[in-house]
Amino acid sequence: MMYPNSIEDIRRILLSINIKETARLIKEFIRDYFERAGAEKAIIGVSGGVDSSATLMLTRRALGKDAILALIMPHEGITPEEDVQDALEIVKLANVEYKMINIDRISMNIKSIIENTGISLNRMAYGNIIARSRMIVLYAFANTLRGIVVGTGDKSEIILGYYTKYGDGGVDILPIGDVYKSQVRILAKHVGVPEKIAMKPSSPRLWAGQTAAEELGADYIEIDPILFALFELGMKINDILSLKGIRKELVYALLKRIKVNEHKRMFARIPKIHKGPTIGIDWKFTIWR
Amino acid sequence: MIKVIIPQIKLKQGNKDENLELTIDIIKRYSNEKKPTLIVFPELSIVGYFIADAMYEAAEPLNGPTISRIAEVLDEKGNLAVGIGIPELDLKRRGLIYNTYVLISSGKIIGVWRKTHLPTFGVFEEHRYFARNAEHGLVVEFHGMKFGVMICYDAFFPEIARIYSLRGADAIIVPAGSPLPSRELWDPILRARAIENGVYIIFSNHVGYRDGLMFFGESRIIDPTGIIIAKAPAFEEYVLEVEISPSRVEFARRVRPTLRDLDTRIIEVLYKESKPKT
Repeated sequence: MMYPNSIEDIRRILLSINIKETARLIKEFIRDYFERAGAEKAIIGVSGGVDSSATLMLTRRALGKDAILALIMPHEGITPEEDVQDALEIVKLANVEYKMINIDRISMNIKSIIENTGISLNRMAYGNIIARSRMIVLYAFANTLRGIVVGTGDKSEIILGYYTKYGDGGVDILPIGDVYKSQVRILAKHVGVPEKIAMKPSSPRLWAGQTAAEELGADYIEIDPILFALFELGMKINDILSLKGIRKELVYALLKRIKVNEHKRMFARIPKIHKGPTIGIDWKFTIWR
Repeated sequence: MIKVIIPQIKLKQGNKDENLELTIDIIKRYSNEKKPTLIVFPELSIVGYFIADAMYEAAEPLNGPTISRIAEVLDEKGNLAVGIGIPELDLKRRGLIYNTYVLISSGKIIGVWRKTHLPTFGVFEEHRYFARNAEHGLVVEFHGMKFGVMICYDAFFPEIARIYSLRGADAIIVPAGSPLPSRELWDPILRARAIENGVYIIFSNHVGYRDGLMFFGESRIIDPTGIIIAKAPAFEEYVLEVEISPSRVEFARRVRPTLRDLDTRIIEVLYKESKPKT
């Protein structure tokens, strides 16, 4: 490998991922976790976007159709009809059981009860209520069916903190959590997600017309090489800034986002009192032991 | 001629009882072997390698229940030797724990090796738990062949393999707990150690996930000329069975006599240069 000197070089490395082996590792991971947890169902929220479609297909291949329950949870006025149709297409393609639950009644009820106290919620607060309402529904099924909630976040989103804490971040496992968004698109096609869904522009869809590109300042195809250079190639920020084709202000914006969202990737901070291990600080245990 | 068995099986993270039963099941499979047989389990096999702070609780002394039980099963079976990894609780210096590999045969311990280089970077935190080995170069004989042990990351330091070879080892066992990020490094490292010394390298790795970390397997045996003579698949359970012979060591040292040609004065320079400069 030549030392990369343009953002295009890095994109090429990023997209040259061994997709067959990646799919295999993810399937093994899902199977291993599911078995060790003694779970009977994998509960997955399916939005019609690339991440949840890829995760559904991978989980389907790992566990078989009977172990999966897909939930489609559109919000009237926010979720585009196209997404609902794509979600239906992918659950039918995967041939798994699914349920459609309109999330707007739950979310709007929560909003109106809170607003009765006299506060008026802003757009982000309500967007997060939607994401957290979906989490509540997913866990209601998981708890009742001895299930685990399979999250659908990818590495780009997790690094940027571009998700709702305890919303779409509130899950048991994140099978594609170490795969960058632009790699997920390739992975999705590999596991049979239709091209149209695999290449659909990303959006959290927490309000009408919201797109990731507008909020983050670029498409993932431009963002991912920067994240990849930082975390997979270990490049220094100054070297990244001098890459051919780089937008410096985008690098600064991403770095800021990564820092301010660090808290989302951690257990809630606790002030240490005792000598023994404190959760989130020096408490180190594995899940199975 | 010795038959080497590498059971690349899915040991259970943190479940000593279950791992001990899996270990004994494998041993019993070979208990009627007529040929001398060496069964090589991976690093810290009894705890499934990676268990974080549960390591303190899992540590046990060399005369603890795990080794006693295996020794009991191996009693009277002089044809069989078994290598297992345990977190060893030091009884002389209370509270210290070592990443230890034990070779057991005929109802007793025939060799004990403690890991020297404890990886503490990336996904590894071994210095958090283990004290490092201070005694080097134990070589033990089993049915006419001599063995040393380099535990996982120790294999990255050629000096250790050199010491074993100078002390007469024909084969070096490398029990490992190696996850995905290290995968590509092992072929060159293990083959180099074999070629540099004209010794067999017996690499036994864990397989399967420990939390989110895949231990990739690919256990293998390198012959003294540097050829990979057997390799288990990645990510799957597999039991490798290969025969090794001292005559192959002799042959390797004839066609590529690295050990004969080693200018040992280099080692004196190395020793001098390794002293801290003030």
